Parts: sequence; C-alpha cells; structure tokens
Amino acid sequence: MENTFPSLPHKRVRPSLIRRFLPIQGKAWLRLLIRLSGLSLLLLAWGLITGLGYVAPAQLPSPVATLETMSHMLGDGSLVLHALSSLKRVFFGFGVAFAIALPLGLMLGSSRLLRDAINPVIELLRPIPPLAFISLAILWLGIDEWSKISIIIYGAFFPLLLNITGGISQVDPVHIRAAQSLGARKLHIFWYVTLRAAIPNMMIGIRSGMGMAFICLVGSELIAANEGLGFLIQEGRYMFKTDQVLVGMITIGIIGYLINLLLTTLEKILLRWK
Amino acid sequence: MLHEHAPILSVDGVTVAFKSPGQAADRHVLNRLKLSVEAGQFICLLGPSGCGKTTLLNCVAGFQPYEGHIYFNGAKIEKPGKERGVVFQEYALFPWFTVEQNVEFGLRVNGVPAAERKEQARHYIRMVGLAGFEKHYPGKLSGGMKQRAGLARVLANEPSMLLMDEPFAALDEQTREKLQTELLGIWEKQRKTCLFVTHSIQEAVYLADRVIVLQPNPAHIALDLRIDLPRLRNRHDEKLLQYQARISEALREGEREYGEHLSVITA
Repeated sequence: MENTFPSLPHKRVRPSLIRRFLPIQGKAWLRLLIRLSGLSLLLLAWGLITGLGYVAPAQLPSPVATLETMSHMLGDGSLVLHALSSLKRVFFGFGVAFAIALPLGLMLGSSRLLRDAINPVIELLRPIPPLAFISLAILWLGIDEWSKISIIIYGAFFPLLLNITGGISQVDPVHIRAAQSLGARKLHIFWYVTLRAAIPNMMIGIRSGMGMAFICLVGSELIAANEGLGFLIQEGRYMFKTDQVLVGMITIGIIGYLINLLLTTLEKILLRWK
Repeated sequence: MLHEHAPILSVDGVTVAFKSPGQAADRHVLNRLKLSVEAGQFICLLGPSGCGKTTLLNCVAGFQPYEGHIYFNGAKIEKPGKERGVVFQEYALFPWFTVEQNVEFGLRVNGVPAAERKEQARHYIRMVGLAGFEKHYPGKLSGGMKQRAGLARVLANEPSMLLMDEPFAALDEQTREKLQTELLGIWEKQRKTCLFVTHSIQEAVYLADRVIVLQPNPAHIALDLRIDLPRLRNRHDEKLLQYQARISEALREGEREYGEHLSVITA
C-alpha cells in the first residue's frame, strides 16, 4: 500500500534570534558561549563603570585591579590559606549538622507522634536567622573556633532536618507493602526502601544546607577571626581595601559554584534511576 | 499432611468495618464473609468498585486487619508473607532498582546467595518476556513492561499463591489481552493458586476456573460460578458469552437490590 495520506501543512518554525545571527545549530560550544555571555556582560558593565571614572576606586576597584590583587594573593599563598580555613569551618559545621540531622530526621520521619511533638519547636526556631544567634554564641562559647562553627551548624541544620524528615515520611506505602509481601523485614525495608526513597529529598536538603553554611560563614567570621574569607572581607572594609573585599566575595562565589557542581554531579549519580 | 480436599485458603466469618465520619455506625465493607479456595484454582473476584473485593484481597495479603478467620495452609493470616505474592495495580516496582534488582529483591531479603538469585532472576525475567531489559530502570519502561517486571518479581520468590489486584486495569486493551494470555501460559506451567481481582467480566471469564461475584454494602457473594472451558479460550466462544451473560445478570440484580436498599434509606 502506498502512503496516500496528505502531508500535514508545513509549519515554519521561526529560528530564535541568536540562531538567526549565528549559523551554528545545537553545538555544545554555542551553549557555552551563551552561558559565558551573561558573565561577560557583567564584567563589561563593571569595567565601564570603573573605567569611565564614575566611582572612586575605594568604592569599587576596576576588574583589572581586582584581578591583580587576586593573583597577588594567590601568588603569596594567602588566599589559599584563607580559603582553606573557611572551607574547614564550612565542612566541619555542615558535617556536624548532618550528623545530628540524619538520625533525628530518620526518627521524626518515621513517627507521626514525634513529628507532631517536635514540629512547633522547629517551626518557631526556623525563621530566626542564624546570624541573630551570634551574640548568644559569643556568650556561651566565647570567641574561639566553636562559636563560629556553631553558627554554621545552626544554619545548615534546618534545611537538612526538614528535608530528611520529609523524605522519610513520604515513602509510598505501596512500596512498603510490596517489600513486606516479598518477605522483607523491618531492617530490609528501612535500608532498601525507605532510605532510597528519601534520597531525592535528602539531596535537596544537602544542597540547601550547604548553601546556608556558606551564607553563615561570612557572619560567623565576624566573631574575632584572623583568617578566612569572611575575615578577608571584614578586614578589607576596615582598611579601605575594597579590592580585598571583592577578592573575598568572588572567591566565595567560585567555591560555592564548584561545590554545587560537585553536589549536582553526586545527585546525578545517586539518582540515575530518575 | 493436609487432607486431599482441604482448602489452601479458607476465609471464615471475616468482617472489616471502617469508621465513617459523622455517623454512629461503622461502615461494614465485609460482613461475615465466607469463602474457600482449593489449591491450584484460578479465582477471579469480580464486582463493582467499592464492593470490597480489594479489601478482601488485602486481608488475604495481610495488609488489612480484620475480624474473623483467614487460614492459609492451616495457618492464620496476620501479616504479609512471601508465600502470598502480591501483584499490584500500580506495579509498585522500586524505581531505584533495575528490573533485575527488583526481581532479585525477594530472594535477596530471604538470604539467597548472589549467584543463585541472579540465575533465578534471569530465568523469570525471560519467562515474562523481558530478556534484554535486565539493566533498565522501571521509569524507562511502558506500563505493560512494568507489570511484566512486577509479575517476575513475585514469581521469582516462588510463592504458593498469587494475589493480583486489578493488575492489568491501567493498561491499554491490546496490551491487557496479550498479558492475560501470557499470564495463563505461565499459570499452566506452575499451577499456582491465584486470586485475581478485576472489574472486567471479559477478563474474569477468560482467565478463571471460578468467578466469584461480590456485591457491596456489605460485601456478599452474589454468584459463585465455575467456568468449565478448556484454555486457551476463544474470547468470542458462544459458551464464554453465556457465562458472561449470567455474570452480568447477577451484577444487575445486585444493582437493583442496592437501589431498593437506597430508596428505603431515603424514604
């Protein structure tokens, strides 16, 4: 039999603006170019504002000057030291928060009663910004490392706890039934079903917890720090070294971006079934 | 040893009542239901939605607490168990496991060594026609393939009874008919006792040795019909159509009864 169906009226798809001007279609490097364009635009605006002399260098140094300071601080190793000491705080604080949130989240997630009992406390504490605890942290823990880390722990804790609890409590009951009727015991169900079903939510908790840890970092280093990226920003402000402020900020941005990239990759591996 | 004609499953005086909001009396879904099933029978539980057929299946599966007695191979059913394998309407495959890992799951939690369970899983995956899809995740499969995997997962565990809760209801007609035929092929080989819940008369008469028609409020058996036809059956066979007519008659009578029952209440 011949195909005698009339062909559908051909609909002309208008190429997008960018594609009309750039003759390459769907290439990976085109996407990279587009991705870089926003960043270049920002840099261009920054360069223009500082280059035309609208703002004093003490208020906003030029991109070139900032880059020079950055490469200088990389060269003498100081930037790496500051970054490492901040990373240590972030990871330690996040680790402690995770170590508390995981068992607590597992318990809350599996018991409705416990959830009802604890939820009001959590909902009351959650809206208080971690930085509001700085005064208490100093009073209770002094001005050494622990008071800084405690702020980070506090900040990372709630996103972790809420998402782990949510993930555990939202396991599809039909999966539990299926496992039971295949002969699984409680521990099997926990390990093979509940925990795995909760991983998508847990990853959300880990990513937003990590984000909060970085947000709290700068604040925590307001407490009598003498190294760290937050300290760099603080010191730069006191000493009118605005280029140093910017270097601190940019470094935090880059590290945050890289960690998020790492977590997204981890998520893709863990959730390859999605 | 069991007596030759001792039923593999006996349901006796089973009552399930749910609290209904705003009413003093509980709503009885099942009320002193009685039923016995011989080993090797293929039984279809048929009835309109809300008639309690799934509730009954859930009692047998051990998911639903009940009053009364349900004995399986002489032991009272109190919780789910691997000797009663369940195939769910919504497949209930673990999405984080591959087809192979899903099929192996029962063997794994029951302590079968890795090499042995791999071999057994492959055997059943081949049996349901999923060879080549071992490493696929359920999310990438069509509905029909998902249910094949669900069936393989249960069969690999070698239960003595299959409980199937409208397993093909979510599939398109062509896939459904194909799976019905293949299920019978597997069943002919294994002769496992099978309790199959459906709301389709055609499906019931095509598959079952015995069709049990349930009517609601509370569930009672309106018809218990033996289908004495050799398999595979022709879906348009005169005799099969006669069985269908008898069943739909029983269903209509129930409707009438239920309608009168309603008018009494509203009067």
